[in-house]
Amino acid sequence: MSMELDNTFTVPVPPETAWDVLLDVARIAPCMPGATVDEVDGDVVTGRIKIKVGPVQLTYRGTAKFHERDEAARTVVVEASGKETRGAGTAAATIKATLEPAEGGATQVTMHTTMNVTGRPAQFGRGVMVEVGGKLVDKFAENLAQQLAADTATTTDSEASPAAAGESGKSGESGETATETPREAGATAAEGTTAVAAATATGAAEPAREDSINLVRLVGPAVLKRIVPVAAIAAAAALLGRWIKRGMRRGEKG
Amino acid sequence: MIPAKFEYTRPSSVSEAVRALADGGEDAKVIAGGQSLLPLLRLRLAYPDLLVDIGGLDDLRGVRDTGDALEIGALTTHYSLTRDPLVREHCGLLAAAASTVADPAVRHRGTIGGSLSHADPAGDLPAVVAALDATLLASGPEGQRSIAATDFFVDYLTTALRPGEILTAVRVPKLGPGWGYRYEKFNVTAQDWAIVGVAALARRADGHVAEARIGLTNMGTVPVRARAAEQAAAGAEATRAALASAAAQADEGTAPPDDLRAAADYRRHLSRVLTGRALAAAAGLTSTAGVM
Repeated sequence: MSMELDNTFTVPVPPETAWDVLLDVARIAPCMPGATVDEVDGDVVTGRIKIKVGPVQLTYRGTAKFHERDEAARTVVVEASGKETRGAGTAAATIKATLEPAEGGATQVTMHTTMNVTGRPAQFGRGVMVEVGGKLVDKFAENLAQQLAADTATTTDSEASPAAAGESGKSGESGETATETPREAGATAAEGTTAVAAATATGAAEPAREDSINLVRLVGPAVLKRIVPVAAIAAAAALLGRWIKRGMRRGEKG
Repeated sequence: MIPAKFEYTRPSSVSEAVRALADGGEDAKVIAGGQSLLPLLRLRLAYPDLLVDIGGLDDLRGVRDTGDALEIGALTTHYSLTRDPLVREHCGLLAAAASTVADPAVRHRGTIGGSLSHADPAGDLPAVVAALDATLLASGPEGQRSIAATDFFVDYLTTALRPGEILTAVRVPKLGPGWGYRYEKFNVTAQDWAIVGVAALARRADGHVAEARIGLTNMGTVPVRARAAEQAAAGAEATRAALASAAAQADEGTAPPDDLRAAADYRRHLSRVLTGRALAAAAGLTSTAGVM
């Protein structure tokens, strides 16, 4: 199942400044909601995305890397792909971001995302996955906007870039720590919006991140409806299998 | 499929359950009747580390008359709701809607608390408690608190319950004389979730509808009240035409899902038609209505 999404936002810094941040995949990858960065190797980031919708949990593990970097056109294309850690499903996204000068020395960022989802989470109807993808990408854009604004406001020298990248990696680790103290993690997720506001207020160099996102509507109402038929079919198949075996045994005896 | 491994505890009091749940944190999950959670576990779309089984908390079962309201324990099954004399007498809408939930097996195991906490917008009871102006009672590490039904549902499968909190009871104000009700559910197969459901209450006086309350199932990520239609119905003549005209505003402010079962536009259409039918029945214009 594939879908396309468009997001546009403005950051209060000139395109040249925003461009430098956008080039640092280690800094933009953690903007993905629920993302944890495990490893940064040059331009390739390995990590996980954890999505939680009520009782439904999904974790994808995979990589994000640059596919294209066109400084003249101020366009980058990032490719991300992952595999479910507890299932056979996959998710892949291609994000194309273009920077354009906007009024008052600001930058308008135009994002076009193509997303492909396979496996169980994809089997729940197109409308549903559009909702999930839409929410994920919206949140990503929101975090990226903050990242661009915060980074460019607090760090201007080139020395700061690797340091910030290191911090991003660390933030991934701290995300893991948060998972180990589940009550705190729950509170963080619940107060996601508050945390975002706080991060902005303190001028933190990174957007607030949740170690897992309570991405409601990950799977629309169709999910549970579908689950039951699936379960029923599985049960029926199991029964059928048993009957066939029994029949065969009888056949052997007879 | 077989669920992923999990720890299991069966506390014998609400405070014990709250403690277990709070200690388990984000990866702990309450299980009551298990009619929504078990399929998720078996498909491994959910894999909590700890299940807190509140099935042994008998205090949470049954219906109490508290004067102007009924207090319905969270563990009361759908089946009990449909049969309970107090529920049938004072908030018949709940009994009627509970009788449409899934199939008899689910109704015997599934509980009102589970159904509300699961917060599936396609579930029948959330819109019903919203229409009934019910209050939900929760117990947590910080004690007890009550949450208005319309504030309880936050987003898809997401409620206002905090980590460690358990829904213990639902307080439903008794409907006085003159109130009629109807739950209209539209689905293709009998035991299926509603494509759209409409829970309507109407108080009739002098050939008019004096007051109407309408809850919509599966017309957004949470159950919604059709406020525009409620206002249009209030004071309208108790005729099919007048109520159908009020019902034309039923989908105002809703954002119905667009999925393989039905397109959003079709759901909007259904909500208008079903609201017209439900209001007419609630106002006593058809013989199938429940009248208090």
